[in-house]
Parts: sequence; C-alpha cells; structure tokens
Amino acid sequence: MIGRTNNQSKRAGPKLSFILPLVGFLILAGFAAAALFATLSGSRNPAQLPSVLISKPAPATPAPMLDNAAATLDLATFAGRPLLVNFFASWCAPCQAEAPALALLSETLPVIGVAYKDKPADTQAFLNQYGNPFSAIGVDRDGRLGLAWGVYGVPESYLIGADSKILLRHAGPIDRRVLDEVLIPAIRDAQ
Amino acid sequence: MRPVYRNFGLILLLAFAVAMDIGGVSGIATPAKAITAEEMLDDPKLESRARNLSKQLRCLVCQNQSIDDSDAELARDLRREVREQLLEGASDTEIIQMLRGKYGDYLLLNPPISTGTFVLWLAPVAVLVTGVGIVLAAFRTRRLNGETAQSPLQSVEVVASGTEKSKTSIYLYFICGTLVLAASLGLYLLLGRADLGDQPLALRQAEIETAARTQAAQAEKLATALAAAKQQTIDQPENVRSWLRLAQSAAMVDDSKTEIRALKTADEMTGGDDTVKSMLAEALSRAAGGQITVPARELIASVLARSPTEPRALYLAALAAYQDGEYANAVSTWQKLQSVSAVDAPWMTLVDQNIANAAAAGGIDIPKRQLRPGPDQADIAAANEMTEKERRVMIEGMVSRLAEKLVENPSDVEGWRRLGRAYEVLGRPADAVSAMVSAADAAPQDADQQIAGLQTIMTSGLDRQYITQASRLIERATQLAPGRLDLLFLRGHFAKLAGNNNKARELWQSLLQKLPADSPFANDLESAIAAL
Repeated sequence: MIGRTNNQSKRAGPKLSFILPLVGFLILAGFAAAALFATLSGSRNPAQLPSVLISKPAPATPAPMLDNAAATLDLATFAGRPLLVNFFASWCAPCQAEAPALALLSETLPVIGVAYKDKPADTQAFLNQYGNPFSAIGVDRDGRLGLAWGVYGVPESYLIGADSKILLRHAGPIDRRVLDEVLIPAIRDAQ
Repeated sequence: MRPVYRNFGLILLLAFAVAMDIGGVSGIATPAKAITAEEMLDDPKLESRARNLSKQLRCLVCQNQSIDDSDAELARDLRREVREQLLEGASDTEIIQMLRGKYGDYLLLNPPISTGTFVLWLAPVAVLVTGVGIVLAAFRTRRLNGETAQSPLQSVEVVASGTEKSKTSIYLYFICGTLVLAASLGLYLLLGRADLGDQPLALRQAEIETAARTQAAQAEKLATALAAAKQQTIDQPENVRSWLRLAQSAAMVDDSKTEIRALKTADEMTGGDDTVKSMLAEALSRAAGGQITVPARELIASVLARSPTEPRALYLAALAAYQDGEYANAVSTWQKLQSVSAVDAPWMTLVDQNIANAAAAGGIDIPKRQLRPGPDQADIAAANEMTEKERRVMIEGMVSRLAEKLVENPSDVEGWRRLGRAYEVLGRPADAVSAMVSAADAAPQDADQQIAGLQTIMTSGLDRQYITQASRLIERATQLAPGRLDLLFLRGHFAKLAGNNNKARELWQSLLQKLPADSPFANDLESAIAAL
C-alpha cells in the first residue's frame, strides 16, 4: 500500500520538472513564431525603424537645387498644404521601382525630391530615364540633409502636413501595398 | 521515473538559448576597424572622446555594429557629425542627445530603461531566476526520491528496475550520439572531402568550349549586322526603315542606348507613328531592366489614346498594370490584346502565361475558356508541323466548330471577331465580312466594333455587295463617335461607293483639315479627293 503511494508521489515529481521547462520553451517559441509569421506576412518589417521626427516640424536644412545650384530648396514655399519629401539616388535600385508610384502621387500633392549622395549629372540621367515626378529637387551631396532628417537609407519618404509637421515616414520603396494601405489613407487624412 | 522525457523540455530550452546566443555573439565576433586615418582628429583627447562616442552609437544600416566598427556610408556620416560637434565644443551628452533627437533610442547600443525597454532589461533576470527555481525543484525531487529509495519500506525490485532504466538510457544516449557522429563522418568522407576533384566540370570542358565558340561566332555576326545597319543609316539617313533596322540590330546586342536613339529618330521622322512609339516604349523599359518606366507609360498612353488596339502598346500597358499590382486591370488588358490579335500571333503563348500569372497573383478566377480564346496553342503548334493542306483542314475544322458555337450564342462579340480573323487568314473574305458584321450587330453600342466591321468590309474587296450592312454600321458609329478620324475616312469611302462624290469630298476634306500637314496619309488623301 505504502509502496504504491510512494510510486504516485514519484510520478508527480517528474511531471512538474518536465512540464515547467517545456512551458518555458513553448512561450519563447511562441514569441519567435509570432515574430517570424509577422515578418513573413509583411505586417512587421524589422528594417523599418520608427522615426522620432513624427509630429515634429520638418528640419529646415537648406540645400542647393538640382536645376540651379545657386538657388536653395526651401520647403516653406510649399507650406500650407501637405507634401511628400522623397530622398532618392540614381544608384539606388528600389528608387527606380518606386518611380511610377511617385508619378501617381505627384498628381495629388507636391513631391519634393532630395538627391542623396548623388552626382547631379547622374541624377539628371536617372530622371530622364525613369521620369521626373518632383516639383522641386534639392541636392544633398554629402548626406548632411539626410542626417538632419534621420535618413538611414534611400529611398525614404516623409509625408508633411499643412502645418509643416512630419506626419509619416516610410523607409524603402513605395510599392502598391504601401501606397494603398499607408500613404493614400495618410494623405487623405492630411487633406 | 523517465529521465529521457524528464530532461526533454530542459534540453529544448537550453538548445534555444544556445541558438539565440550564437546569433548574438556572431554579430560582434569580427569587429572590423572601419575608421580611416583622414577622419581622425588632430587632438588626441578629442579623438579618444570621438572613438568612445562612436562605440556607443549603432549603425542604423548594419543594425548590429557600432558606427566605430561599421564601414557603411551612414556610419561614416555619423562619425563625421560626431567629430564636427566635438570640434565645436559640444559635450558628449549633448552630442548623444542631438543624434537621439533624429534617430531615436534605437541609435544607442545600450538602450535606456523605459516603459518600452524594461521587458528587455528584465528578461535575463527573469530567465535566470526561473532557471535557478527549476534546478532547485529538480534537486528537491531527486533528494526526496533518494530518501524513499533508502527507505526500508521501498521494495528492492523498484530500486533495481530504476537503476536499470537509467543505465539503458545512458546506453541509448551513447548509441545515438555515436550514430550521429558516424553518419556525419561518413557523409563527409563520401561527398565533402577536400581532395575530391571537380570531375563533372572537367568532363564538360569540351562542351563548354564548343558553346563558347558558338556564342562568340553569334556575337560577331550580330556585331557585323549592327555595324552594317549603322552604315546604312549614314548612307540613307532619310529612310525610316534603316533606322528601324539599326534599332533591331542594337536590341539584339543589348545596346539599348543605340536602340533608343534610333527609335527616337524614327519617331521624329514618322511624325509620331504608333508602332514606332510603342517600340520606343518597349526599348525604354528594356533598358530599365524590364520595368515599365514613367516616360514609357506616357508613350503607351498616347499611343493607346489614338489607336486602342496597338498590340505592343496593349501588351506594355498590361505589363505596367501588372507591375503596379493592379492584376485585374492587367488581365483584362491582356485579354483585350488576345481578342484583337490573330489566333496564331507569336505572342499568344506568352500572353496566356502572363494572364495566368496575373490571375494567380491577384487571386482572380478566370474560366478556362477565357484563357484560351479560339484554338489552343497546342493546336497551333500541331498545325505548324503539318503540311499546308492538312493545316487548312484542321483550321477549317476549328473554325466551323467556332461558327457552330456562335450560332447558339450570337451575342458573343469576341467570338465573332475571332471567327472573322480566322476567315481572313483562310482567305474567305465573304465569311470574314459577315462574321465582323455579326460582331458589330452583337455590340451595337461599341463604336470600335462598328468601325472594325467597316474596315473589314472595305479591305475585303466586297464592299459593293455589303453596302447595306455598311450603311447600318455607319449609322450606328456616327451616333456613337461622330468625331473619329477613321470613321470620317470610312464614311467618305462608302459615300463614294454609293455614287455620292460630293458628300465623299466634303467628309474627306474635313478629315484632311484635322490631320497634321506632314502626315504621309494626308498626301494619299489629297490625291484621293482630287480623283473624285
């Protein structure tokens, strides 16, 4: 009789020490699986960093214009309505891919380009080949303007509200999904 | 007690932790000193402060290196920024605050404790505490078990069987481990040994050489063709054909610059010919690695606005829609291309594939029937293998099947059009005309359909016999699209047929005024008016 009770208590012991680490593993694996699934389904992008400039005024850093190096790009001339600032470069392949999307956007709001670390001649050739959706283009040869905006890789786009505050930052090319799900709703809200 | 199962969970947890660790460690295992000599400051004190700051800042491109280690462009910019601020006399905290204001906490390799990061900081402690708890619990159970084992009440059999079980499990572990090791060693010796030769490649050497020779000969041929075409454009610069030939030869050798230049010249010479414009759009897109660029899109749109059935422009418009992710639009445009193409057009197979791809990508349901309008590609391939006579018999068989179907379902406009084209190919103009007239009758609200019918009547050479049908189509088309230039021409043609030369002259003259003066067609039209 007593032997049997002992046997039962022995069974209860291994059960707990088996289940506890297993539960720990399952919780960790659950987190990993959730993160993996979110990444694969496209709702989480580990390369997309949050911008701290959201709802802050757009940095006023002067840059020479592409078509006239003596003139300065001034966002204040566009103040009073929403606009999109797009950092791009001729050497950047995703910038080629987003050219049609920018052309589409330029029909609804002014799109300002900043040629990031690019030779003006290369930028010009790029615009000739892929189209020029920009209302104005600034030149940021050494990346200082990009640094002021917190740019960490081209293409990067900033939606700026009528009050000149940054509403949204998108790092990476604007594809159909980003256009439909992120930018167009945000622009509608801004307008 | 079952030691194997008991440890199973713990082993998994450990393996997971080790895997995570390896992931973490490998990121910092090979620190590369990325800083270059010209970046360094002259003042050693400032320089050491700069180095110290750089080590605390994350490179946002590599995301697992400090800007001190990273060779990325952005890291270089940040190092420059740090040094410039130091030279201006900023304190370390000021510099960090300034950069944090632009890039956020993520910039700091040591994240500050905040509501967002406390889980991160707490997690290692929590894991440690849990681990200690588990180990203590395990010890306690073991001690309890040990006590019971020594208890005089414990039966000898149980103890013996317990020891035996743990012994078997040790043997099991040992055997499994040895097997894994032996298997990997065996695999290595069989497939991965360093001294194994590259025999398959050596065997293929001759084949590779032949292929290279053929390729070189081919390239030389293409280069000669290109040079000849270039010479021709110099000899006959006013001949559009020579420019088109140059574009073609340049396309064969992937010389997109020459191709685009030649096509632009041809475009100017023809005053904006739709085919040339479409070819230019295609060349621009090919130069951009297959992406339909914005300038190409503008060309396509202008071509389609004037001639909505230009096959190349239709194809590219569909491809542009596909690239934008507008799959439904892409499918319908490609289907339109299929409906205006001859059944044996060379691009049909490609378009079929593209429609299937776009439908799959967009989750669009396409009935099998629509995927293959008219005779199937395999039928056509089979037809190409046959003799002329057999082919005719086969095509006629398919055509009569299509005709039967259309008798049952006379409202199928596309079906009538296909039938009409098939009859044209077979050289049966009367049947072609009646099929196209049926297509026009089936879509009385579609001006394109009426005009296509009129064009078929006119080019069939049977226009005198079909004058009543023609006047019916003209009446409808004039109501739908009175201003269309092609309609004006057709109306003039049929007015002339009806003997009404005055009306024909009036119509053609109004057409002439709308044409650009240098259009080659305008000359023909003028002489036609003069002949009236």
